[in-house]
Amino acid sequence: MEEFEVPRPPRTNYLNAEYGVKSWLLTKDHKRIALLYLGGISFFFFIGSLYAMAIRLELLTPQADLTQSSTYNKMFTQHGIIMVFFFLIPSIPATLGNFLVPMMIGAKDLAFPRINLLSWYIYMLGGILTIYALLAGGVDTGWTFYTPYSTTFSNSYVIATGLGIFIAGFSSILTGLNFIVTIHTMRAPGMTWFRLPLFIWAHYATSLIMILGTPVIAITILLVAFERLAHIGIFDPAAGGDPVLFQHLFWFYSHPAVYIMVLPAMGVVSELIANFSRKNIFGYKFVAFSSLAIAVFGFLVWGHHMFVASQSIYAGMIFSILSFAVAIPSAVKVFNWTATLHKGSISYDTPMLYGLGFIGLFTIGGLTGMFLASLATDVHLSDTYFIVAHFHYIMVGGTLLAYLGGLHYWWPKISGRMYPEGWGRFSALIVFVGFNLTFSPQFVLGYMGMPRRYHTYPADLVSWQVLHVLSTAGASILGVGLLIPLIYLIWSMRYGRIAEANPWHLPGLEWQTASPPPTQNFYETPIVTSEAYEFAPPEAKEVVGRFERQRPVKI
Amino acid sequence: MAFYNFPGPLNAVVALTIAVIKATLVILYFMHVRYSPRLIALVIGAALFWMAILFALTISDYSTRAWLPVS
Amino acid sequence: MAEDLATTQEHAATHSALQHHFENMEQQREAGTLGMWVFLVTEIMFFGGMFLAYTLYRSKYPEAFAVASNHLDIKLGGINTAVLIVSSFTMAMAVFSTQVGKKRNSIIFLLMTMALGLTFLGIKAIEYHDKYRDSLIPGTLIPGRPFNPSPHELHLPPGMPIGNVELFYWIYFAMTGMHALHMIIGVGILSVITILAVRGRFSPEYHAPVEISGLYWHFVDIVWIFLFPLLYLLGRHLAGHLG
Repeated sequence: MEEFEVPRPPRTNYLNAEYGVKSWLLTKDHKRIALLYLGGISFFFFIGSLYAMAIRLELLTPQADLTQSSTYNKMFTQHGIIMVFFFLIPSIPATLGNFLVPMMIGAKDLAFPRINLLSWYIYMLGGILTIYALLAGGVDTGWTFYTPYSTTFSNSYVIATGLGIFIAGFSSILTGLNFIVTIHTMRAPGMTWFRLPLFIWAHYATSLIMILGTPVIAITILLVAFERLAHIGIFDPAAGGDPVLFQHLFWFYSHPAVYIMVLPAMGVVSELIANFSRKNIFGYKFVAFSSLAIAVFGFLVWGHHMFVASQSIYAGMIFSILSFAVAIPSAVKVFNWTATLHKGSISYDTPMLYGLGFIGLFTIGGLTGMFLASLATDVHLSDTYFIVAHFHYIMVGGTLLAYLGGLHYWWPKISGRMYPEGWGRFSALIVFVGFNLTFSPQFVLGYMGMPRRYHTYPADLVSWQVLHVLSTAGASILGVGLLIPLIYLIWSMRYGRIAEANPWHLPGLEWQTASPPPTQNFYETPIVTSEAYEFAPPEAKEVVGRFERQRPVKI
Repeated sequence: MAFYNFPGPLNAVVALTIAVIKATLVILYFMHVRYSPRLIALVIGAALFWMAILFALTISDYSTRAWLPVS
Repeated sequence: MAEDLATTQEHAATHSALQHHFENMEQQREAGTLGMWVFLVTEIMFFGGMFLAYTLYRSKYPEAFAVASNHLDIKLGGINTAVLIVSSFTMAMAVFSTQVGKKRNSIIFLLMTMALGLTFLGIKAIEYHDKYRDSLIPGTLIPGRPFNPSPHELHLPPGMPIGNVELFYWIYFAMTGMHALHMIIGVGILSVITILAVRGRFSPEYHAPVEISGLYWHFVDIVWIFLFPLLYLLGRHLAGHLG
């Protein structure tokens, strides 16, 4: 084995380049902003999880033990709003994406560093406003703000919450704008479009949705606020308005928003599967273009949320067919990941466990979506726990698992320390078991007819209670599984083993610089000469070119 | 290009066609799209395409609601 | 010639306005322009939601919308259209003057653009005041002055629900109000640009901020180009038989 010169860990990196609160709050470094986001997002995830636990505890028994129905309405609403708008949508793009998009394409920073920092402040401002609304009295409309309840009848803090979401939306727009411009104009020499890691393709597609969808929800929420303030009648049937128009505008964004949540997750999983199988991804272009296809098709299906909302049956048919079409690019991804595993040299490190978990859970989530895209079955399943289980399989089983997998995978790069592998695998297993135990009973519950958003159910239906108890037990296990990484990741920042520059021995650009990276990411602008996921055999090593110099020695 | 006050009855199509022509001229010449990379045209095209999606699919609902008589 | 180009590029690559994370001025300019265009896409979608609401309600209540539309002041609206198009022209001239390095001209054109923008806002304010005088501000936006068209020239044909007329005015105020807000932001941006131009920050090598603000200004103009016929003109042909 040839010896390579290992660069000494540099004395300064992005973490110790400057010290003090001010150096963080005024930073323009995309890596530091990613960590600011990580803090904010973890905080909101914690709040959202508290609501989730309260909901599960309430449903342990058929009676109303902990809350009254009005309180329960606020609990599930706030759980949904915080998790969707303040955790899931920014989760992967704003943390991992912010950190890695410039690094993976060989850039020094995002195109607009100041706008990047601004987006974090906007996000926090929106979040704080929403938290204020929760403390002041909460909101009870459901995270969907359906009219005319939200505009005319609800006595809760709809405007303050809506304003919070409106503001947070701008942070999403600015992040998407930054990514698109960065990917277009800041790629390193030789980094052609088809050499981009699939993580970048996924983030490009995500950014498209952020750019094209978010403004529509912004104007919609504004209209709801005006309707509440001044009774103008645009969604009020009494004045000639149409409440269903709200649903059209709302879901024009909020359905594609599901893909804002899951596309970056798919990007993470593409990285995990290819790199931990040590193989080039099967059908690179198909996986890349399926991301764009999902971004486009995702905008054509919003009406499947309105099959039972007095939408025209003919429009329903169109939306139903188009909804099935989204399954095609999603399936392309799942099949290609599976084919990548075939004859790969797979290592079951923690990130890979999360990645494999994602494939299984996303497949279940996706296939149950087919039930809901069919007009006839949807009439039965609409607004039951089947829906709740379905979208939690996508959002928790999909996005959250990929988020955790990505966080573990890039943790050495982010923190410069390794997480404890044994604890990592253990908690990945706990999360997987806990998640399935929480949400698979809900499919059955929903099929049996348990509606969502109710805090009581008939006491004589013993099977319902059994399923609810299982679900609550699973939620507790899931909670433990999420607490363990929280503890050991924080622990590892100080006590973890020092990470090498390239602890997984991978070809990606982000691994060809120090861990943690210097503020300018690379000591010299990298020149790319190979495809992504190029696991060249040793005799062909010269082809990899100048990265070879920084390839660390196996210790 | 500047104009002032349309008289009397005016067909919607004519008014909108004039608006589209004016907007196109502004985009092509004032905003230099004519002399910019194709990417910029693609960006504008994407915006118009997504607007078309928003309109077409929403109108597919409103225009067919009356087809099935509600009893 | 080739040598000239090379020195220009050399000069451009080391310009003081180059931010640390860009390789050269060309990349920085490209990123800025694309960024503004992508932002304008979000603006198009933002206004798109309101245009959709307009389209649906107009096709649902054509008569009410025609009656309400006929009460808008077409003369003021027309003048404003002309004002904005001329302002777009002066803006384009300001960008051109900066590109060729005529600092004095570019400042004059920027000031003219701002003056025209303020003229537009002034005329808009007059229109809004007329609507206020006629109690045509929808809903309860103005306390103690609810929407009430009947005592004024806006006579509803028998059987026409007042709510539908009110809906038009709601869309009118939402769209023109949002547009006016963008105008105010635009004037703000241009005043910053003008100050920078006076300080001599721009040159033929570095003029991206002027160009990018110009893009925004033109976009706001385009929105009005569509608002004017949709709000003021459509329905004129129905005016005859509705009286």
